[in-house]
Amino acid sequence: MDTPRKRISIVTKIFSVFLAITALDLSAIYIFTGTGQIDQIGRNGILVAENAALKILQILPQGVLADPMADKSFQKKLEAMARTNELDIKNCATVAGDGKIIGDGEGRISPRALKALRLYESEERLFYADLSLGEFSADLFIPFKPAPNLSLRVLSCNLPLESIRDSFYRLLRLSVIILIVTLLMQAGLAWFIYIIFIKRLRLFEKVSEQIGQGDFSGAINYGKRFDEIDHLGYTFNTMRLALAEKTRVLEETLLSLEKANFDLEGDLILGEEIQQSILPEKTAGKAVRWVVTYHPMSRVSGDFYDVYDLPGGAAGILQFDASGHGVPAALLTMMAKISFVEAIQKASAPNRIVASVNDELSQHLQKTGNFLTAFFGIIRPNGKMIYCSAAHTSTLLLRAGAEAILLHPTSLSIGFAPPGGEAFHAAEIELLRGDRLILYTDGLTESRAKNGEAIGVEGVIALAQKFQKLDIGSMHREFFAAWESGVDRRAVEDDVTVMIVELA
Amino acid sequence: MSIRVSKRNTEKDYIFVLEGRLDTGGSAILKLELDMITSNPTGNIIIDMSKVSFISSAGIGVTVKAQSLLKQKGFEVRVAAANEEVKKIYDLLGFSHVVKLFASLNDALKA
Repeated sequence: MDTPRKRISIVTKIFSVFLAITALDLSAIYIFTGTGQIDQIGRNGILVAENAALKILQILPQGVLADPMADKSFQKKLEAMARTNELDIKNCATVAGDGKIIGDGEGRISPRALKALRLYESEERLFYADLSLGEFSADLFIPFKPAPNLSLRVLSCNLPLESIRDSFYRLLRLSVIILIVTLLMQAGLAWFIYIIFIKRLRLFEKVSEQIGQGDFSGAINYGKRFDEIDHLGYTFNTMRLALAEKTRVLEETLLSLEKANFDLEGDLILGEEIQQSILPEKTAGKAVRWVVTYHPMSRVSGDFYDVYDLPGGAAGILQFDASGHGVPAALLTMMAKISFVEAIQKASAPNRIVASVNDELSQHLQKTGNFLTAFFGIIRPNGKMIYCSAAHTSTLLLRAGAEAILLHPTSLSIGFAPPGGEAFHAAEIELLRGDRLILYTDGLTESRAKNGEAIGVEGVIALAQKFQKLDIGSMHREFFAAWESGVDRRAVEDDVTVMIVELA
Repeated sequence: MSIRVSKRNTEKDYIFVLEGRLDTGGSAILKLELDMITSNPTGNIIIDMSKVSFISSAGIGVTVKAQSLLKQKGFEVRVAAANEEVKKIYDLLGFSHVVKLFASLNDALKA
């Protein structure tokens, strides 16, 4: 299972959404309320400043003074306006239009005073008010014409706008209150979401992780309100308990299966030992040299082979294959082994021996639908071999000169052939020094190469001829190694037995 | 999977159509299918092998065993349209007299 990527918690996601909502709130407050209010405050400031300028104009002495601030009565009137808190006009000074300043002694005319003069000259505007919201004050510039021999002058005054300051701070307080209320509402909503969803989801997460680790003790608690998540918790708990029960049953079953498998494996090992114990000794069959590879699909095999020392120095070579594989087939091999031993003591011709086995086993085999294929050959010291092949895979005789001869079946298989021996026939062939007799079961020919094609009889012949020049032991080793490396082991579906025999 | 088994019934027979290789694995599958019938048969079993490319001794054994069981209940297994290679294996092992082989499915149904 893929490891989950690093997660982004729901808390983070919701916090991000809330942050965005807050930013949106602030923007909306500013755009829809703040800017309008600030404009309104500015307009109020201008009105107050214009009102002050008009009042100054009303008290401004006409036509005699170069500097009204030098006029005591004017100053008194200004002070009177300030006392009555009607207008708190401060820092008044008179500026000459020719650039010379009267009153402040700086000797410069400010651009705003100049602007007031120009507006007076061009538009006959009586005053110019410049609002400074940052300082909550307005500068008033009032041009006037003193005595006829003097140039235009500007009276400049500063007017503190406390009412504007109050309005602005009131607006600021209101904005802060709205912001705090919004944040508090969002915090409340966040807490609500945490309690209703996230806290409970985290419990699901924790219990699920416990279940994933095989701990079923965790439970989802649900309260009186019993909403959808509580119902999910109830269902989850039901599933958890069912899963715990099924897991318990599975573990018990697995344990009992492991025990049964252990016992079965023990029985199979015993069966394997028993089957191996009845295989012939390597010294059996003095008239021949032989090697064998016995390759069961499981611990026990449905293939079997035997080698006998027979009267007259002859050797009996037996290979048979019970239908199917595994334990049932292995049990048949045990029956057949005993039956062959008894038949060899009663008869001497290979076909009579095989027929005797058929007579004895057929009634048992027909009950279960099983059968045997078998090759039994008697090789005399002079090389003459008489054999009976009961539907066994064609035995390969590889002459020393590399000629390959297939010894095809001479009879029907053992099990369903009619009793009495008429279905079993013998054949004879001469073995020469250096000839190799290769007996194999159909597990070899039916095994498939890595390209999916069955090895077949042709493949067996090719392999045998490839290693024919080697001594019998090396040939057998190389033959089997080449087969093992060439086949798809997963496609080997039957027991495989290969015997190579040559004259001693 | 080496074998594909499809089945249908006529009024009195069971027809199994096989496709693939009747090797050890395929034989185990066929055995499971046949076991369901042979435990309580009500008719013959006809196995259409026209699409079977290979039969192992295990495959032969499955059909022979089914024949043994059906014979006790008065029915039989019929193998239809087997190719020459399959027929040869039946002949070689001596089972062509145990399990009846027919040239075609129609022949097996009419028998």
